[in-house]
Amino acid sequence: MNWITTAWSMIAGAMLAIAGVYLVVWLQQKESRAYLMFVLLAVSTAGIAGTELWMMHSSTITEFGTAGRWFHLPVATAIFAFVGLVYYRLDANRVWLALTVCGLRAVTLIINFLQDPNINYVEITRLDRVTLLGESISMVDGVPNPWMLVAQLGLLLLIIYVLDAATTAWRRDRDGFTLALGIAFGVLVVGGSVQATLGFWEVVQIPVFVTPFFLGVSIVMSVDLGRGILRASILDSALKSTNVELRESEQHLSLAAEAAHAGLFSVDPRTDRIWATAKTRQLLALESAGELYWKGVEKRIHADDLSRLLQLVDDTLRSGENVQTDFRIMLPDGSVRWLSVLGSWRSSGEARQGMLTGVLRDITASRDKDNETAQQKTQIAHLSRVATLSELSSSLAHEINQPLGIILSNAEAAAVLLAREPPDLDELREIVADIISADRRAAGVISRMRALLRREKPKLQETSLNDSINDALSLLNGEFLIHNVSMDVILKSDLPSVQADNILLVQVILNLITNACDAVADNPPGQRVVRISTEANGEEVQAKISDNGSGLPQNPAQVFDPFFTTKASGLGMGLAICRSIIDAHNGRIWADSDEAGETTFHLSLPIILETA
Amino acid sequence: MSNHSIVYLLDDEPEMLKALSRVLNAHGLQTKAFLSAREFLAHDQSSQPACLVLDLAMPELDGLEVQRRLSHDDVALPIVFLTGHGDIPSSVRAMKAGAEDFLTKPVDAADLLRAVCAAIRQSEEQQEAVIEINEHRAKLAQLTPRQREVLEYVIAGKMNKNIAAELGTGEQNIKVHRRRLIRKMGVKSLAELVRLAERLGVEPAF
Repeated sequence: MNWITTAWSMIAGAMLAIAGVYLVVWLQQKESRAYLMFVLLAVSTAGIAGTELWMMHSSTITEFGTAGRWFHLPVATAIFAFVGLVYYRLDANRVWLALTVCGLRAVTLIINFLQDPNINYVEITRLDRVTLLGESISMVDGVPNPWMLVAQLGLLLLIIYVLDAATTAWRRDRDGFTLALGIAFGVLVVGGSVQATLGFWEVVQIPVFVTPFFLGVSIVMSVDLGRGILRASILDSALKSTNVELRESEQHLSLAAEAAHAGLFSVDPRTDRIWATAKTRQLLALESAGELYWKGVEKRIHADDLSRLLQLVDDTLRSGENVQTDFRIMLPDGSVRWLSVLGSWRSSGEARQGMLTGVLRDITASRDKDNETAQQKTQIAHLSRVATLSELSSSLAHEINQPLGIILSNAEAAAVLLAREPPDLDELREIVADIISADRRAAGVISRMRALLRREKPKLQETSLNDSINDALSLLNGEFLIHNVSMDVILKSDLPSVQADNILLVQVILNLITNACDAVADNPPGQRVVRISTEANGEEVQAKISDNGSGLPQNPAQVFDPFFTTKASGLGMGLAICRSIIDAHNGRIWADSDEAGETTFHLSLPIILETA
Repeated sequence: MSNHSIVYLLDDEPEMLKALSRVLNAHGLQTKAFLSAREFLAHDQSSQPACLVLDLAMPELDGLEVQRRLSHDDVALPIVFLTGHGDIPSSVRAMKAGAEDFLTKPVDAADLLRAVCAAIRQSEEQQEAVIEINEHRAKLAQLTPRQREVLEYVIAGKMNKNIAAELGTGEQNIKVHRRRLIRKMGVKSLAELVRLAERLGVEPAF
């Protein structure tokens, strides 16, 4: 059995087959140059095996020389490929060394083809047939070619290059496999070089075969690359199952969203392209399929809410914080719905790069209910205010009318008695005394009533006038909208605090706003404007509540008198109470109007002085 | 207006009572003042024409309650309400329950006098009616049981012969009874007899 021939042929065949496989792999992943290098290495190894077989089977000295010359071609390409593999696989960083190795090998190859018979020998003197592994093969004796030193210098540099790359990779990655790879490369390249060199210089009597070493390199490499492919296929199947899970969780999410009547969406702010679930499209009354862009959604958003919404989105893209707001949409049939949106910004690092994802819900029904509740609350607040006032004024009326009745009846009786001749002076004296005492009693009632009003000592604490206004507005929530009153609120930020009882202050502001809304009620819709503003003014903070409504009487101060009213059902106590509250706060309240017919109620409270 | 009439005043405030008494007295009206509802309800009602000037708001029993009790006891006493603050529900209730008037304090003497005089006139009319009805009652009491029986048939519109058949006697007999009872009752026509019997509460015998 010709073992050598069989083995070498099988090696060549196997190498070509592997080269074919990896060629296909490389063609699919062209960026992975390691595969290309490996293909080259495998083909070269097959070439080496082939040319070695040719040499072993040469029958003449000339043929052996020719075969030896061609042998150097696959060796050179194998070394190029090996250098490349080390470069790509171990991330070798000494490029100059790699280029030097390749350069020396190229020079070796050129010299090889210029020499006769080849770079190994100046002259082959004898060809012997020896028996190796039961097979007769050719071996030669001759004069060694000194140019061979160039090739061997190249081999030495190759060893240095590989060992350097292996140690660097190991130090960098601390990866067991990289270490194994480096060691394998090192052992094989050192072994191959030493064997070839020793054999060449006939230090030891062995035939020079490099095929096994390149076979070793190829096997190590194929294990390494195969491992990569294996890992890729594991990743691929993991990805597939992740995809399945992802799809499942997406389905679950959609199901949950569906159950919550919520629509999901995401927007890419660079392209304005929107991904949206069917529910989202349904909520926005959009086509159920097809590409969706911001433009298509924008047309649905209520004109009054659009700029606010855009501003919020802009803020979110900048700050990265979640955004939650309610806004209105206008459907093609003209109906208005309230939607609530909760969005979050997933940035990919750079500005405006990422996805704005969110949930959309129709809250029209609950909003209506909220409005109703708020309205009811307002009504209750209003009713209880009226009730308190009417109770107060009715008990006031009773307390006052009693002594007034006594005075009147006594006086009228006196008038009759005085007309008599002679008048009953004793009786008249008594009557006058009773009148005086009743009068005193009436005065007492008034002062008691004042004391009663004053008894509610305001609980003064540090309060923000802006907060009080916002409290009042939230209590009024919706009421002015219903009456088509447009409310402009300009609250100056960083307003100094005041000492006030917030509840009382809110009552005053509520009263002023309600009055303003009532005053504009007779204006045509669209011309009902109430403006609220605050500012700091020296040692005071001021609130102004203006309206373009029915105006003030000739003497504006009159409106603060008790029982002064312009309303059919008014008691005329509101502003009187407002003034007593503001007085108790050491503040001022007054009203004026300008030429344009705008009425303004001013509220002024002293700023808390910083105590050192 | 008869000068033997009397105005009752009921108010929880002595000063108010004094002032009202003075103004009414000055205009020649006799008054009697009470400081509490209990005191007033306990006192014996005189038979003279009278009215009550009643304060609506009083501790314990208020004006409306006094009105209810009087009406419950069948005391026909016209009431003029007086109140410190005219709240509409109370005044409506008072008027529905038959108040003569509803005045608010302070009250003008003229208004008070007008209301009080109207109430007293009302009281006089009521008393006259009572006197008249009492006279008729006395006449009715003079009827014999047989005459009373015949009266019940007559006002039911029955003919003499039918009445005779019902009572098991002669028609002539009935005619005599009929003549006598008409004379006793002092009426001139059958129609007048029917009206009077109705006022006295005599049930027709159908």
